[in-house]
Amino acid sequence: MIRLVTQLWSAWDKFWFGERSLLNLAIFRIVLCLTLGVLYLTRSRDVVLYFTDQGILPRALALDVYVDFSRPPFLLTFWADSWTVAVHWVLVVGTFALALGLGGRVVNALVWFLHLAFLQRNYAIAFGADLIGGLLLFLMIGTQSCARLSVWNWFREKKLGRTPELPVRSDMATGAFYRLLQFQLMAVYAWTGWEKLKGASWWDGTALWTVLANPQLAVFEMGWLRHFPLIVAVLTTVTWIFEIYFPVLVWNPRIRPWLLGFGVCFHLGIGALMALWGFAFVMISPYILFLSEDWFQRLKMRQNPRLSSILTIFSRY
Amino acid sequence: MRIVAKTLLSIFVFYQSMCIWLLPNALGFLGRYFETALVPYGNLISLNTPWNLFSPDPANTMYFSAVLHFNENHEPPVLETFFPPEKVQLVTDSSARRLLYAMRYLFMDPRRIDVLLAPWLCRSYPLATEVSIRQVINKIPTLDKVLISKDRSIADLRETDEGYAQMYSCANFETSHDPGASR
Repeated sequence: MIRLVTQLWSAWDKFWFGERSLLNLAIFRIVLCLTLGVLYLTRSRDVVLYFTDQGILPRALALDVYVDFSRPPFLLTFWADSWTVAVHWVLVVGTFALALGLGGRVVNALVWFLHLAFLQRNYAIAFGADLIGGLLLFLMIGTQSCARLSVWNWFREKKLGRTPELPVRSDMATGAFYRLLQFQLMAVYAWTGWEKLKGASWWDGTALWTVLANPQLAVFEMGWLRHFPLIVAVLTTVTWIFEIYFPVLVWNPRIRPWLLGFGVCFHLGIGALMALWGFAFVMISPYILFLSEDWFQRLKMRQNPRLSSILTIFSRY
Repeated sequence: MRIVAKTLLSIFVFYQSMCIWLLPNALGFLGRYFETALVPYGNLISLNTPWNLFSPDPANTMYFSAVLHFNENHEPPVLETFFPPEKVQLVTDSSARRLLYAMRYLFMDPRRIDVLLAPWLCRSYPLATEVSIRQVINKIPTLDKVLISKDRSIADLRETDEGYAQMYSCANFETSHDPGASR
């Protein structure tokens, strides 16, 4: 019995608290924060319209737009309307600072808090990218996301006159939160797929037609797809199969590169056809957390000397 | 010390994992069973979200049409506007596109039109006395239908439906949009 418990604890310990690639984490941080930063930056001209009493939603009604079951207990937006533009700029600057690797967990926590406060202030205008991005930001607080690929490391090198010592091993919390980030992505895919199975058109294989023939959603005129109904049926079915089986298949090392490659094409396709670039990159960003630790070394060892030297400089910080 | 930290972290990852996996279906039995333990935390961090992206079925083209009525000496006395302003056209600008999302959110529950859209339109047009709002749904023909009707264009096959429609007096919202009410 004791042996079984010891073995279980050992497996748990290895799974949750094992070492993680800080380089993967840093690339994830850069992609996520640049994406969210651009989303915040583009909405900055509409801050008054979206987040003040002069706009669509008065503060007094901010929590009323939630359905009862998911309503937050209180509004985190503590500042007066006159401060909204300034606070939004703090969020924009903070997000880009985090993308550069500045501020670590403290700036990460501040950015997440402000992100959530703006999300609560007007939930009606939230994108899927805002919701998922916010959860990823939250879980990233527990990690050493700024340990590598940080402007701070470059600055230290200039100050010290030599390459600073970078952390080699991830800490315990990083291990656990790295796994939770993976879990979050898996859960989003699984539930998105399961929810689709409730809809007759996804089961029927025609749902993507409704999406692509909708002029409010599709960038291009996609009416020509009526002449290729098989494409619609295959893409519709592949979509929910990919989403439902992602959480299982991603743990198979042989299938993983193909699955992630497909996922990248899938999201870039959505981005291109529906101008949902924010959603595409927020979803792609945690993919890097599923790559093995040595993928970057293998890439560096490629024959191309220019690429190799760029990557060597890149990874020094 | 390390073992204490690891135990505390283990409790947290177990709890967070439960939230991640159960809250997307918080109204299901397991969600209701663990409601008091999971839902308040999930609501606080916006984790209590069903991941129903384009589901259960993708939405049709839709928008709000609003007719604003002004006093007799106002020119024009009646003005029609749309929400989102682009009506059925695609908006690629990510910030402007948020209005499209807001419209879909308001569409789901007519009470949101009463408490949000109508007062906002009255605030946007301070000289308006009444506003008449109606939901317009421009139904996309099914794939089967366009395959059967090969000689007809997709635009021809679209059907327009009207949903909730209501007239509001802007005088009723005057107290609720007092700027002094804002912090």
